[in-house]
Amino acid sequence: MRFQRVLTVLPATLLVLVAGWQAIRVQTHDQSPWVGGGFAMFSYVDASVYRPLVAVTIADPSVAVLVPEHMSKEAERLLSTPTDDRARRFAESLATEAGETVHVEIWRPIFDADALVVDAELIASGSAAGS
Amino acid sequence: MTTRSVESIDRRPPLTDLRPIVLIPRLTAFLAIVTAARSTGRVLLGLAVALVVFGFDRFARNGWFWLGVGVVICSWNVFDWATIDNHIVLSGYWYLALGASLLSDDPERQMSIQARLLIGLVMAVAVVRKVTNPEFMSGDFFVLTLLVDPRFEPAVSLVGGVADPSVNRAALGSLPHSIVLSSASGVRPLALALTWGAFIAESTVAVFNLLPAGTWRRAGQIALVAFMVVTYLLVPVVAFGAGLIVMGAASAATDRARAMWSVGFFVLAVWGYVWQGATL
Repeated sequence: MRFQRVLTVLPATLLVLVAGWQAIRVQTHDQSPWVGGGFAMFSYVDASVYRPLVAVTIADPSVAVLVPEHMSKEAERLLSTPTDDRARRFAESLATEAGETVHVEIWRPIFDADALVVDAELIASGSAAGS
Repeated sequence: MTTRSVESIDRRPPLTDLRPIVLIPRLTAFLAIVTAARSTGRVLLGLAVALVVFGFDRFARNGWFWLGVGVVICSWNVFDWATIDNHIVLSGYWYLALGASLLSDDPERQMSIQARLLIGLVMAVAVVRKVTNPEFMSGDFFVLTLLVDPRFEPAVSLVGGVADPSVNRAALGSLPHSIVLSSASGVRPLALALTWGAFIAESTVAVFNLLPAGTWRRAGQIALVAFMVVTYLLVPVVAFGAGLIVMGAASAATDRARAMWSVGFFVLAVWGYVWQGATL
């Protein structure tokens, strides 16, 4: 009976706890509001698909480093939950691929609706030397 | 109260059997496929669930089976939590809810309770997130979305008056450097209409599905149908809509209502496919 009662309240409890936890992480860890069970879709400008991921070589910052297809999942994770440490590890992987020292930055879009200007704010970055 | 699995009931022709105990597991099996996109592993799991449900009636109505599916999906979600969309998370909760319902003494009543609770909570959370977010309540969120999200391109072209929304989308590629978007006079009013429309629709669905079922079940159903028609006619987010439809069917009181939800499931899937093709 007790097990049945636990089962009955489990889905709703999980929904509320995960949504609350996600909302806290959005405020404290720059997590994208759109993913992770927070049900904040279609309400925040800061969607991970709008977050620019900039990867350039240190030697010439005007040279962009393309993210290979097999790193797309890792890139998606970095955009959704960016930290400096994760950016550095991503840069390490890219540097290994490119054979050059790479710098990676994750930005967040900021929208001024009156001026119709989309700007960006740096939220995580990291560098790594190529092997 | 005892724990049990519903394993044997009388058989009726498959397409005309609209009892929740039969229909809801089948719709949920379709949901497992619809929500599995973008991951080969999840697609295979969704197909396996559908095969089991349509191949073995005993499993389709076995609470332990659905609990198992729920535990697998929710555990998978923990590993993917940083990137998974909300509909995948919601489907995991629904598998658990379906499992818990089928293990209860009154599966059909419990299914309805669980479905209304999940619908109500999802909408309530969505409303709280909107109300506490100034960029949504001011209409700014929908101004940007209308101008750059390809899913809103038909709306912003036809109603908003923007001649070529793809220009704005292309400009996004210049971020993190500042960009200036081009708009039209119809965009702000359309954004405000969408903002308040979404707020009112989601609030209504939340309230009517969280109120006691006896009096408010019908209102909850009508509110959900209205929300889905307005929202998904404009932008058919098929996977999330499919989850709401399955739960809408589970909380419906009559065979007729469940039949309409079932038809809605496939109409949404087809509309999503057509719409996607038209906006590419």
